[in-house]
Amino acid sequence: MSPLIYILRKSFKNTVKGLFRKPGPLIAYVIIGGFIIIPSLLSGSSGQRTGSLNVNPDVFKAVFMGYTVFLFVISSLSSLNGASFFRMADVNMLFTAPIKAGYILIYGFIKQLALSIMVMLYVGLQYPNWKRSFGLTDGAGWILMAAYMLLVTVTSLLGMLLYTYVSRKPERVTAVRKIIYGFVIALILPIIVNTFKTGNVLDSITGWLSHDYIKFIPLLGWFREILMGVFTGVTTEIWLYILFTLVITIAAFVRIYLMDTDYYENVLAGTELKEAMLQASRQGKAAQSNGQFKAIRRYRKVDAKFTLEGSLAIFQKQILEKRKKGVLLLPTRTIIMAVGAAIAALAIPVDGTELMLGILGVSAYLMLILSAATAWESDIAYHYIYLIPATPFKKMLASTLAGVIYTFIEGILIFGIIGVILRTALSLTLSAILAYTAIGTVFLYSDLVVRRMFGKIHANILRIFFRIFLLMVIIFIAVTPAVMISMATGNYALGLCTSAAVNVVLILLFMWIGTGLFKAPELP
Amino acid sequence: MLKVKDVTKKYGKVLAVDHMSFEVDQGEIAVLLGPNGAGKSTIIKCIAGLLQYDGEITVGGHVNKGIEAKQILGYVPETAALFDSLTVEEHINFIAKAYRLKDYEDYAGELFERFDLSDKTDKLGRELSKGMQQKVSICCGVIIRPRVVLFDEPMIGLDPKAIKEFKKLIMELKEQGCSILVSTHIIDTIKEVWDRILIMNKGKIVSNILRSQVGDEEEIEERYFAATGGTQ
Repeated sequence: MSPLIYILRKSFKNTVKGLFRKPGPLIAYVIIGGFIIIPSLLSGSSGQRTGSLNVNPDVFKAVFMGYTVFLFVISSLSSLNGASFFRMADVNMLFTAPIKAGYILIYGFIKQLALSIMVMLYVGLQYPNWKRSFGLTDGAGWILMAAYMLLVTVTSLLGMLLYTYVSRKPERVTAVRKIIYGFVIALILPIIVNTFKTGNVLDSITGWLSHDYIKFIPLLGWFREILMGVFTGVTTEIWLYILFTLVITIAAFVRIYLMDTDYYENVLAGTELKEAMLQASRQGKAAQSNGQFKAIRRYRKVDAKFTLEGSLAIFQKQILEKRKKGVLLLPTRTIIMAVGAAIAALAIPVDGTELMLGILGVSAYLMLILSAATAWESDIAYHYIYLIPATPFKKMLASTLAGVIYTFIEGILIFGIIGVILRTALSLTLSAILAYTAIGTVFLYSDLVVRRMFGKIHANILRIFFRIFLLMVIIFIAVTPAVMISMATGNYALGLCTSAAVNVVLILLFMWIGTGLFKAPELP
Repeated sequence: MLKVKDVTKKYGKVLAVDHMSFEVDQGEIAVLLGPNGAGKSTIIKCIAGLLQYDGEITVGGHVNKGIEAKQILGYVPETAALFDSLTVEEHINFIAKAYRLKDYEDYAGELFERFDLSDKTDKLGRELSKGMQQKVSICCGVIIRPRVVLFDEPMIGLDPKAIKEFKKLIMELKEQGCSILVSTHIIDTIKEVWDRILIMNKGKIVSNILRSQVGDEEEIEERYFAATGGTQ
């Protein structure tokens, strides 16, 4: 075990040393830490629980259930391809060393859990907001973090067991996949049936996923109840579910530990896939892959000619790549946001203008989490971009143009659809599209700034925190004057246009800073 | 044609290139020769404009990071980097449009032919073997008909026929007046083609040798080991 502890200790030490050598990211982490700890302490001491949104607890039950099912399904499907805790260096050096396989598993597992810390940091950062908005109980942040950790642990272990099972007979992959899809259909079917009966999608989803007897579904139902602890506190019943989950976790761990198997073969495929994913992620393709399946994706055959010259050839290349990937029209983020907005427009009985503004706010928030496909990040990993004889500014524009167009089209889809459903004024719909595009474009160009400030590895981690900070800035300098103008004139379209205009200033500033990325790449 | 004057490059506290100066004349093949870690790739990346550095680098009289210099500078990196989803042909077309090339198709066909890529033009970048990717990378570097071209360890991964074709290609480029800078740590690979050898060690040029200054190829090896402190 000692060589494994040595690797963990040294890796941690070297990471910390690296942060001190290049203090930019360290400063950012300290600031983020401050953002997490100070509001937590403040809200903790004052015990504020405003619960201003007053949402029905059943809605949260449904959300937690949906999230848990989503994680389990994704994790199970990923594991069929061989999900892995390990990196290639682990496989090549540890699996061939005279170290007990069980120890190596524990080592991989510790690494896996360490990776979850960033997600927990994000939860920590959002917790004060959630606590204020939703009226969470004291200590809810800890419940969320513990539940997430437990969820990651159990899904990883069960995924590994599942892979060990299917890897022995390839035909099992198809059978297990069918079972998973069947389960999802069985879960969704009552919602569809009820929607046809009542005509209310939102009530059908909430009613079914919050149903009391769902809590008896092992793990899935238990996690829903554990997560509901953020409102109720940790009750005896929740302790019981935690205990059950821990028993399953330990049993899965012991089963894997005792398995008389050579992990090498089991994890090799998964590790290779993971390496491909990491490589893609470092080149900025993570946002496009959205899961392990797409790491080795198939490309469509597309006949296309390059017609644009100079830096615009970069833009045309990106469009060609998107066409080959088949994501030109409806990427996952667009589908999620457009469908979500349409359901909200159909289901929530609020004034059309208010709802459209609300959806704009929620969409801006969702853009924090669901990154758009950003081809520029991938492109700057190649030397070709720097060698092309054009100014860095032109190259920056050409590399990001597809992203701006994509955000604009997304805006048209989301607000065009809900504009028709809600029958809002055309001027309001158009200004919402404009405001949405402006916010999306601010985020897009802010990524350039983050990448330039913190480098590619830390940028992937810090991007979301920077966006949160940016959203606060936008609220302060763009949304506030927009609200004031709207209230003063009664013209919401004018208010949205004002916010878009302020955001354009931010965009120009970020473009100016971000151009440096295309000037001095420091390509390895 | 290529001038490197007092260039220094540091990675943190590590001095990778230490006040390096040299020139490569028009129609000259210069070889950067040195052990692993000598700074060969670093200086090539500095010339290509991929790294920040202190000092001056000009290509055809233009600052290397300017558009005029980029228009005439070709670069073939140490590790071939191809776009996953573009075919071999699309790589060439992309480069051609980005550099605003006219009438490049015949030359592309000729390059594909000599590097055995003619039947692979529809293959995606990621579907090719490492050696094939290197051949495509070479084609991308020379399709622009550069006046200065940088090859960083270009023969690694190439089969014997491709190595022969590569040497023929750089000889042709030389005859057309192109200045060529090739980095390598394997002396034998460049025996027949070099005009100038720049022996590097610890970020410095420790010996600048013209072909007319040495008797035979054996002497290069001796001078290399003498300059780098190695043993034969």
